[in-house]
Amino acid sequence: MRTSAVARILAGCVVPLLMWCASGAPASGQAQTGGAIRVATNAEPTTFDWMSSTATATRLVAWHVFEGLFAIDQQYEVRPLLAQGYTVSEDGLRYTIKLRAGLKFHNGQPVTADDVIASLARWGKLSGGGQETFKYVKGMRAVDPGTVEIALSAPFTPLITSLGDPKQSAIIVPKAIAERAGLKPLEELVGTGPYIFKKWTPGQEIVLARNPAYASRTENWGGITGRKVAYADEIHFFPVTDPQVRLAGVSTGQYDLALELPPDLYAKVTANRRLTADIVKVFSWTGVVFNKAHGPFTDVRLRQAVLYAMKNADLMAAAAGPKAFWQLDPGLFFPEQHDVYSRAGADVYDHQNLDKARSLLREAGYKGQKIVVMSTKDYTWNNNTAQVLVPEMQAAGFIVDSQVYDWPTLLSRRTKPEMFDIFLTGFSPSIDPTGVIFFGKTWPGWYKSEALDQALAQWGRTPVTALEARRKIMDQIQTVFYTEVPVAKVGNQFGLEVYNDHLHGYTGYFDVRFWNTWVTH
Amino acid sequence: MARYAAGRVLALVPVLAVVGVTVFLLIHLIPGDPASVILGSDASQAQVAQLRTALGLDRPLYVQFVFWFEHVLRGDLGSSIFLRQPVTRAIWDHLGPTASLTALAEALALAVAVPSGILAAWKRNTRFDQGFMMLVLLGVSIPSFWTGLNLIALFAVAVRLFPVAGYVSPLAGVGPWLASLILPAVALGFTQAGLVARMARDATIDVLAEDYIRTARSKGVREPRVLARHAFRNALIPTMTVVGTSLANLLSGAVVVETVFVLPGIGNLIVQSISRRDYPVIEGVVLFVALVYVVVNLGVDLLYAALDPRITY
Repeated sequence: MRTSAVARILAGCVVPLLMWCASGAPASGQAQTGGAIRVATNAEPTTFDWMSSTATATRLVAWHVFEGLFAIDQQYEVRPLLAQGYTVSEDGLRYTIKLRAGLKFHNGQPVTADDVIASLARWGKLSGGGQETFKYVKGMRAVDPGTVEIALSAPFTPLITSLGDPKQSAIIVPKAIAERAGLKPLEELVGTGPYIFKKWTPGQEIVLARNPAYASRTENWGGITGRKVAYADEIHFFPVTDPQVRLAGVSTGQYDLALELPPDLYAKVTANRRLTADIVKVFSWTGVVFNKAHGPFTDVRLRQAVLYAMKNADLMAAAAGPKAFWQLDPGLFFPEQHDVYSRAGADVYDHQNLDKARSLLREAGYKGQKIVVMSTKDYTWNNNTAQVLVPEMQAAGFIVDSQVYDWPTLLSRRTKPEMFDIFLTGFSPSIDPTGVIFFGKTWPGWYKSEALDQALAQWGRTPVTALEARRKIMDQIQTVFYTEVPVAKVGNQFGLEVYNDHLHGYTGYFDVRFWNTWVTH
Repeated sequence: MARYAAGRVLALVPVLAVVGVTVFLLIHLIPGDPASVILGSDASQAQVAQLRTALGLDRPLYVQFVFWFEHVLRGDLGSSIFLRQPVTRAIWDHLGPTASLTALAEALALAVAVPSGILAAWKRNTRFDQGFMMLVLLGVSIPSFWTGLNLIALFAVAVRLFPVAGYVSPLAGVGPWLASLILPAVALGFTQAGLVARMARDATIDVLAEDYIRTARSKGVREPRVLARHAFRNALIPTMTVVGTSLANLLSGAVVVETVFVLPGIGNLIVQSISRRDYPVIEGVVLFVALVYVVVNLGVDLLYAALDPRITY
């Protein structure tokens, strides 16, 4: 009796209060226009030209401003963006790409086939993927102002995938701007995206403003294409190098989202009810890159010996900390990338066998030459991995000279074959085997393989619709990867982004995007 | 005095020339180049070579040096590879936050350190003096980034009095500007206060043992007056030396504090430029900092004469 009276009183007070709250409080589920999204980033872009740079810091700002003909969706499949669609001639040598109607650049100028041709020509010279693709491109012509035709010298089915690759993307800019920039990074930042480049105060902030004339697609494809609504008036990117400060800022509401926090801070994040942790699983994989142009690792048996010397779980625990932030997986691609993912090589990957490693060393006639392993402390995970790799290699019988440099020095030294034997790096997601960076013959490591060339050529001839055939070729490519070991894969490393309850509609992806996202400050 | 000052200013020229040449050679001799940084880690060797040519970095070092030196002689420090602006403009844009930060840090340090140093000398060997010496030791021992992170945790996260990081221009309001600088200034000034306070205490102890202090006391001059009128001014000269030299050191402390608190000052500019190998900015900023060092030291030397009539030039 007493309990029910108390319950009635409570219900009388609490229910109206809850109803008032529900009616008065902003409904976070309902999109709101206005305000500014404030993002604490870990690095400042060195350029905003997404075609020039492969850097994440460039991409995550630039893809709000620039767009390509095609782009990847939430499932990492390539779909049209500025393109309405495309057709391929029966012989696979002629691609006709139609532009969507009503597309305009931020300067008000309409997007035409001439802009597309000038932009793609620049991409073909500037970007790694573009250079690879343009080996097959015989010519481009404007069929009409809204249609481009690309003629190939030989079938190259990854053409559309390559055009939608988010690394050094084939962004479309006005013809005059593309020609003025040439091979230098773009200085005039005029794109077609949902946000316009407004201001950059070096060391302080980058400001993007909503593009009121943005012509959005209507499909809910997610990723970098489909429907994009710019709810926020502005996006502010603040370069905050210290991760503790990024976390403190997002905790107090000074920032809405903090990028790339170290896994050590995960417990702090989960302890705060206002914060949401987004563990990014398609993020990066850690690799041990061998110098295949000079020194001991020109011998494949020594590369295989390192593979058998590695205990991947220990390496990943050192690199990424808690188990929630890494995964042992043999794939060149991530399990979420269904079309290209393969488990070929699983019988070799993460199979530490020191006896086998030692026997490979003997077979190769290794005479105790010093192995130079380069790592950097600029990225904690990088040097941490080296700290475990070096004793593992020593246990197998290698004599190792561990050298630690700042990142720009490492970048420079790795271009000189006589300077190193191994360096450690992280590989951000690729979307097609032709875009795997270390398959490039001029990328540091200098991998040359007839078996791989044949497999990639076969991949390039196989129609994108022949799923089973492509799966087999992908297995073949990955088998070559585990036989020739140009790079010893360590494991998949996850990222940690954190946002607070001011940010709504946010969906995780391999890098952050802020269209279809709104704030309630 | 004018002749002395003119001589010191003239001596600046060879100093800056040596600094300029050394920095140019050192920065170009260490590995790493802007093209690799711009293109990112996935760029191929061919792409890096292509951009190096486009940026003119493939020219022989002596050609680059002659080109740079000629322009420096004309007052042109070149243009930043990344910031898309002249180096002089970049320095000017980043000067405001650093000047504000160092001025505030120095003011806070002096306001706390000088009176407490004199007081500790006066209360020599008491509990106050012992406590003071412990604080001073903490001040000079604790790195400013650690102080900064703790100040953020305490005054920006636990008690939300100040922003976590970032800089607000004084044009946007004096209140927000000060709020954005208080925590970094305290972090930076803590070390400075330790140095100054110790010197103020030691100098005051020495002065308090002088005959003229004993004479003043024997004439019945009250203790506050002895301290303020007789001891303070004489203790100020060695203290000023520390203030002068450490004011220039504040600039190096600002490098760390500006990075922690995301202040777009000269320190942040140099750190970013080194990690990007933005050669023209590194060369320009180092020349500028060398100039500040020399000018501050000259200013301190001239100030001695103003403070102590016994010193003449």
